[in-house]
Amino acid sequence: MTTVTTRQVASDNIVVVENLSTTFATPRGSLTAVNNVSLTIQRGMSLGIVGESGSGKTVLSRSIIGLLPPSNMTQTGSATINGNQIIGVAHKELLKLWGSEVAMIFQDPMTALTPTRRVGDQIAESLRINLKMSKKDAKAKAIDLLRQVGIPSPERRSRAYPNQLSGGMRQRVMIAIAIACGPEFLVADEPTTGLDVTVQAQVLDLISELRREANLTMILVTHDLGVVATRTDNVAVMYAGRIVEQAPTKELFARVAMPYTKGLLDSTPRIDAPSHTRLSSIEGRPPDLVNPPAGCPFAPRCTLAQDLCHKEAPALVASTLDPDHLFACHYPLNGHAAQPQGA
Amino acid sequence: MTAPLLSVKDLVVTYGSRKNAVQAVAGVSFEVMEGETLGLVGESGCGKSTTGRAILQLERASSGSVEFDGEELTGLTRGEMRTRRRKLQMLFQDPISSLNPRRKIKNIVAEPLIIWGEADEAKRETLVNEMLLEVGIDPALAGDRYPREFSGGQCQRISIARSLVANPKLLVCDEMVSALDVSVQAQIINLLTDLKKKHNLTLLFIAHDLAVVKNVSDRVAVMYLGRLCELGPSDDLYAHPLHPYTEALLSAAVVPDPDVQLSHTTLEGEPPSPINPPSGCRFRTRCPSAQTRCAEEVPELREVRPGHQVACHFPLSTTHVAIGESPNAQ
Repeated sequence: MTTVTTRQVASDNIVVVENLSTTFATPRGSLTAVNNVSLTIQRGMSLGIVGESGSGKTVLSRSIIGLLPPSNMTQTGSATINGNQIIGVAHKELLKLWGSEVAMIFQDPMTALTPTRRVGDQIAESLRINLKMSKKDAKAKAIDLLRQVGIPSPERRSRAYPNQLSGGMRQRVMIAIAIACGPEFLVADEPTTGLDVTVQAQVLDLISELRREANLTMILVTHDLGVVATRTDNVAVMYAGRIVEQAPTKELFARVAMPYTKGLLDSTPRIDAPSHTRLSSIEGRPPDLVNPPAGCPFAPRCTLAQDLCHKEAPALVASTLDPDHLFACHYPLNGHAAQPQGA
Repeated sequence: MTAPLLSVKDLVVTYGSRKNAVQAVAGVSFEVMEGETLGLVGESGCGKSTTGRAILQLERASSGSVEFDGEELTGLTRGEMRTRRRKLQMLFQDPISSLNPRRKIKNIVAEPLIIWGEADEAKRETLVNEMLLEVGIDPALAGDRYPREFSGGQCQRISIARSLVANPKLLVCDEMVSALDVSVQAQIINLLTDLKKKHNLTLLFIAHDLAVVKNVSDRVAVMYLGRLCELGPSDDLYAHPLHPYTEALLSAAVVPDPDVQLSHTTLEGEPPSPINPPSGCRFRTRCPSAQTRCAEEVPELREVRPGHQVACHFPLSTTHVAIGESPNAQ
């Protein structure tokens, strides 16, 4: 349902990122965690950002909403949400967006919630600040929200402290805080990592349901290709700070272009594959981002790499098979080829 | 796969004093055959890690027996157990913190040999170097370095080398690949599979990840709130689960393929507290097909199909299919 309505207003991009780079100063030298990333997200759509540890997926998602501390960090390029510039903007300006237009769900709800405050008060806080609600109204609305995210006996639970709730419950509270002020854009960073599989299914179902109701736009950051497969409209695969492949979810899984994405898929054990299926692993490790390799960052681990790959980094280009399928590879798989420039 | 190398009977592990006692493991029985990999799967708090630790006598059983290689382990003193550990080794989830940060890699891997009295230093060095090469670590480059200089995957390789250097028979692996990135996880799973074949190892593979457990295991046991629900050959158990909990677990799992539609029977709520477990079947409070009998009578593990046991009064129909064998699965 959402997909149909959003397709009709195809030009309505809520998130526009252009040539965004985020570099940290480290004792060993400067580390480019996000390297020249451009992307757009249409209103109501969800983008999955997938990658392994250190691929830059979390830094990218936080850069987009301005959530990185400015110390030791430089950023170039631009990111806008609903036309509001995020990069290089004062903290005071960003505060107006956070909560009301943009919200975030973090991986670890235990550390993201304040341990010494009742969860009801923590939900009410953003209502009082952003929506200027009275104390009484905010309290009632907080209980309402707890009910909405499926917490049983919400009146009683609103008086609980985070340590009195299970991991799944705490994540539901985080979601209640995130949606409290009716944001349009939600960033969920590994929202179900660390949760049990049955609880993960419950939380993902809840997020999908809330998104449908409010036509929320979402970035879902995860290391798990299984989570993005059924929960997102588009997927971007990150490696060494760059987007190396991006496509509508079904298209990506059906016709992988980039050897790294294929490697990730092939090394994931599958519940629907017979027992003792040999996994094909990717040898080696991701490059050191302080001293990145000259050519394609994946070339040192790629079994298909040729001379060109070690010399020249491939740009993210559209495929001739599907203009929405982007890849950064000199020798793409499955019959993909770069569209000629200017086409 | 002939005789059982390990048999666990009615194992009970209790934590805490009488008043707040929690039965983390509440009567678990299974056997692991020589050369076999038994997977033990379940959610947080189901008692799977405690079971593994109780086998190595890292936790003491309140009752029940653990028989390894023809010998009862539960009555052994700490000193006696220490000598048996040469044949029983354990691998942990966090490889970096399970290696001593102040010791060099070559000394970490040599330690079991020193404990078991391989006195000859030259022979020790040869064994250590061979073992490091087997797990894909270059002893010439790595031997004199410290754990902090290695990645998680490399530290897990070093842990494997340390556990195998004294030639054990049984490895208990507790979530050993859970903290690793998927590409590294695949490397370690493949390495473990190869080493198992080469050294004729028997494995108890404890993990929460259903797909990983299926991949490495010959048989799989499913645990819920301190008890076994189901135990059977991997492919059979995953294709035709008999216990409603197994079915719910499987349907909650994700597959990296948007075209695979798993039957979606989302389980409501969360497991009850083991301090005050439900009477009868422990899963009944969340079970879609629970009846009055389930509250009154504890279901015993019984064989319903050849080699496939279930602890349920009303097991799912044997013709039931939860997951079709996907045609594009390789």
